[in-house]
Amino acid sequence: MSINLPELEGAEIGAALPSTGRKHSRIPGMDAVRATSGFQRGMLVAGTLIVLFFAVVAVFASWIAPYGFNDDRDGTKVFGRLIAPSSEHWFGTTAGGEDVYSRVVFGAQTALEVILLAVAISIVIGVPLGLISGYIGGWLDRVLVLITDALFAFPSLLLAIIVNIAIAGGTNSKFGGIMAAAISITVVYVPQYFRVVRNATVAAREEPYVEAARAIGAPARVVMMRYIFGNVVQTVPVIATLNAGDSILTLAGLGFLGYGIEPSSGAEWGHDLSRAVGDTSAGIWWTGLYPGIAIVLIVVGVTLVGESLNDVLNPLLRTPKVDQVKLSEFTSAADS
Amino acid sequence: MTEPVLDVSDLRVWYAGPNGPVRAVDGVSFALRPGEVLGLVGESGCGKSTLGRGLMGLTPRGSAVDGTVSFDGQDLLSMPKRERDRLRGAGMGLIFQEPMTRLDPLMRISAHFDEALKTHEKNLSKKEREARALEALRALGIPPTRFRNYPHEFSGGMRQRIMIALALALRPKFIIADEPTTALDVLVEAQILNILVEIRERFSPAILLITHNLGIVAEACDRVAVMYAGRIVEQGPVRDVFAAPAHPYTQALLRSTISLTTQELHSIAGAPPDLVAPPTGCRFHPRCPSAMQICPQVSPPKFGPHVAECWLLDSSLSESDAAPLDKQEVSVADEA
Amino acid sequence: MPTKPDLSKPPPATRAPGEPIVEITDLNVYFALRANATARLLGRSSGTVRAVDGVTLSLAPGEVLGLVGESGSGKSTLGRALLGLVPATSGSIRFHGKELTGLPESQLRPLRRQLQMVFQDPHASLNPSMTVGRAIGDALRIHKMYTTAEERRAAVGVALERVGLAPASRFIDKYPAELSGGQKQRAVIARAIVLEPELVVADEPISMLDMSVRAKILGLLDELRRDLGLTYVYITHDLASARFFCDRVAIMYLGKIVEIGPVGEIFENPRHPYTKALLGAVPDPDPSRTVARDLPRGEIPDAADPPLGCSFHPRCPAAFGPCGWEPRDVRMVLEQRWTIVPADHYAREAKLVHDGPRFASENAVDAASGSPGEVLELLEDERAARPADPLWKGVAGMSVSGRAVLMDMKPAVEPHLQQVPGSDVAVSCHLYHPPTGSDPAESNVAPT
Repeated sequence: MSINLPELEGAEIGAALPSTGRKHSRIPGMDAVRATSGFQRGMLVAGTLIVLFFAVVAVFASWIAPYGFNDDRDGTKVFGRLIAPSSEHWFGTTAGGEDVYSRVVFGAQTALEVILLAVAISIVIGVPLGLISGYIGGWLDRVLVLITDALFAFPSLLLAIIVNIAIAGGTNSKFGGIMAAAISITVVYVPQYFRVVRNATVAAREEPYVEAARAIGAPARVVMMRYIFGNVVQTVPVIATLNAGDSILTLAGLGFLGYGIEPSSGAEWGHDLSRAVGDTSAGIWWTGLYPGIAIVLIVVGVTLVGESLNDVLNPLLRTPKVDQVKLSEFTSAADS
Repeated sequence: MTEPVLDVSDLRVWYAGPNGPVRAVDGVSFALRPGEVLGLVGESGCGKSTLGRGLMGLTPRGSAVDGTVSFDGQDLLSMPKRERDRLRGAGMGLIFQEPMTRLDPLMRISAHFDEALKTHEKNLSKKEREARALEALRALGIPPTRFRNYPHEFSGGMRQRIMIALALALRPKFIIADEPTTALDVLVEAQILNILVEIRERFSPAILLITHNLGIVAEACDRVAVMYAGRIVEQGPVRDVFAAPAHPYTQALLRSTISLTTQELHSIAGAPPDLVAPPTGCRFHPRCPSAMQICPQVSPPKFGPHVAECWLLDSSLSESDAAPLDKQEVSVADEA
Repeated sequence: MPTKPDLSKPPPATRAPGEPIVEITDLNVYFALRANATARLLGRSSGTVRAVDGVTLSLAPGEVLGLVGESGSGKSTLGRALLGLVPATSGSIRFHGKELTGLPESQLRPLRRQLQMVFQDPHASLNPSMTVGRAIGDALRIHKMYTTAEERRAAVGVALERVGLAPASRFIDKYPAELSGGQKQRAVIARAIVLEPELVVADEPISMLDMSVRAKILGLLDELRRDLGLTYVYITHDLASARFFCDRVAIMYLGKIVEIGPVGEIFENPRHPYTKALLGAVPDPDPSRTVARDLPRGEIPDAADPPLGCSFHPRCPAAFGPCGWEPRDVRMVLEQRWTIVPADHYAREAKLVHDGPRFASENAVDAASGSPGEVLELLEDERAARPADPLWKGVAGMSVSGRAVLMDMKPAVEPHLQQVPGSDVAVSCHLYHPPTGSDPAESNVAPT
């Protein structure tokens, strides 16, 4: 997935949005919603609702799911294998005898944990690296740009698999598995944050306010943290949401190929999907359908949020709301 | 006296702002005869650029226009859009402030001319088109050796000459020049001003020269229209207006201009008003040193000798109307 | 014949009266140009621009020195080099006797308190994501001038009211986008003066403001100079405000000072042809004063490849023999010719010579198609048509040699800034300090 973001900068957004008398809302994201209209607002609201739904499911997974993700029995009562959906097992059971509904619910938890970790690590590494590289420049910048470009050129899933093999060897704890998956995804996405922040920094470095900061005697660290950071970091939320959708697919891909989280340490939709492949030929649809729907739904939700945020915050894509002006009755000065 | 090329009466252009319609041009009348240069002068935000664009039909989405703009006997405002688009360029030329942004960097200068002439004068042969282009370029002092160069190969002054040549090649009867020398250096600005004088003698188009620089008006214009808060508050021959300005705003503007003969600094108190809700009556009254009781109540009509909208020129005001207005202290900091 | 001047000592006009606070000696600031893609990939430079070229100046406490010139004259670079924002290539800048060039950033930083700057674009020079109070307070925080945030805020309030943003409480928590242009520039000035500097470099501080506000901001700067004892370097292209505001003025062209002296003398009796041209070009609101019709031709040349000798010579109406004429100047004269002669003449003549950089070598004009004899004929024809063009005063002879027309140019002498006898002004022009063997009387314009 490629993200094509022009460099945004505070002043530019200010100039693009009507600035006079514009009240900023205290609720985060409210400004974004207000700036949209019609179809765009529908996209943003629908996406947000889907993501919120999955977030609630993930957080309260232990209460929502009737059974554990790895349980094949309730107490001593064995569920039985490949049971079709019923009132007892809403989504049926798997070949391993686990409740599909519970696995899908816990899968949301795994996905959320991995994505949050991956995005957080990517930002923590990518943003400062981009700032330093863009501000200091010189050979450091050239080397870092070269490395990230090389990572860009590499097929992302393959890269994630290689990193996963390198770091996950032997870990089978739940946290270890999630960490390994998150780091594998991080390696793929750090270059994106790096490039966007670095390019914005290179542009901001030439801004008069940065020169003004140097003129009042600010050292490089202060210039980067207090003057450039705040003005280049605005693009990050958009990339983060766009990346999140993409990284769910990467996580599912890893799981599907058997590289993700150990099946015993966490429920993971991709893994479930790969195990369900064999079932389809036997006419058993429920083991694959529900994890599949979950993946599609969450990716759609996150992407809707990301794309509509991009439209709102990116002045090049946004068509602002304009009301037709109505002239009042003309009164020439001579008449009055 | 010859018939005017352009006759504007009671023109209003209101565009959509975040807090309601912005009355950028609010009842403006003037006329331009062939070969005449009218300087439209005012501070930023007074509506002078909107007026220029409104005449060209280049108003932003959602804006409303009324009044009459009669160009060469045809009413532009009631004309179908397609016909009006055809007039733009052929009948009326436009010269902008920053020529680089108006020239396509990937097109040679020759191609710019070819395209403009092809669109507007379909019956010219390729050879004739080239001859017309070279004639216009030579008139502006661009050597024909540079005809096939790209825009970036020219200096700022040369690009502005090319823009003027591009407008002139279509032999328009009327040209709007919006701050044509603002981005240029003193010497180049003076060269362009000299060229404007020359093209008047050679092509005799009527020119509306929009500028904030009173020096340029004195230098290049026959008549001047002083704009304040969406209205032309004074207009007349440059020599008369500058020698004996009738409107207090014109007086203040002339006094606040720093020229080579400036001995003492003067300024205008306060800031230009918000055009969403302009002051009642005379729009200058809150900043006017000689405001009277009548000023905030009734808009002043036009008074001679050169036309100015100011109650001070009415000798028949009653004593109560002419009593000075008590005003709140204007803070130093409330300025443009 | 004048005696050979002593060029080792700077002319007195460059020196400030009394004990200077800043002394600049033979300062050079060069920038590396990276032209093509391969050079950029390899990080190599492909030429240098001499943004500031051998400038010597000093500043007295409390004076306002104007640096006046067009864009590309190096005036802004000189101002930035003075603050250490741009590294000097060679030469020396002394502030109270302390050498600033070559100081590492960490040692320069404490000095920034005394050397402050006001920028051209007040909007762009304020961080859009900082309130006015934080932006000004940050200057204090960096220099650890107050210990607590409350003390800093109080000091910021005082500075805001000092620059006319009163009451300070109305402005201290505003973002730059909420202020008007004039208010932003006041905030920028407050940020500079809150550090209690001695010297302020003001780079076109009023040129982006509206006409009605310019006078107020210039008045404020003048007031601050008197009240706080500031010394200014006022960088501008606007001669009118320089005349009003400055005590001394240095006119710059292509990195060099071409004329320097007290403001009255420079404006009453400009000497350098460039100064004269600039003054003649200022449009004045008084319709009885009009712009000169005989403006210098062309625009500022490419600083990466400056003209030989005096850099103003190709445009100068008064240039003569020693000013630095070269065969490539012929191109300008021919291009001028081609805007005048009939189109078919142009079509024929343009084929005779090469276009672009191949037009002329160091000493000859090359023939493209046709014989060099035809090129010579063209040049002779042009000389006959416009014999008064200053170019021909530099041409000693033309002859055919191989595939080219050999141009025998009079030897170029680079002018230096020298005191004009009997005045406080120094000027860098051969009209006033003719090199041995040349006669300024042959110029079209006699020196005044």
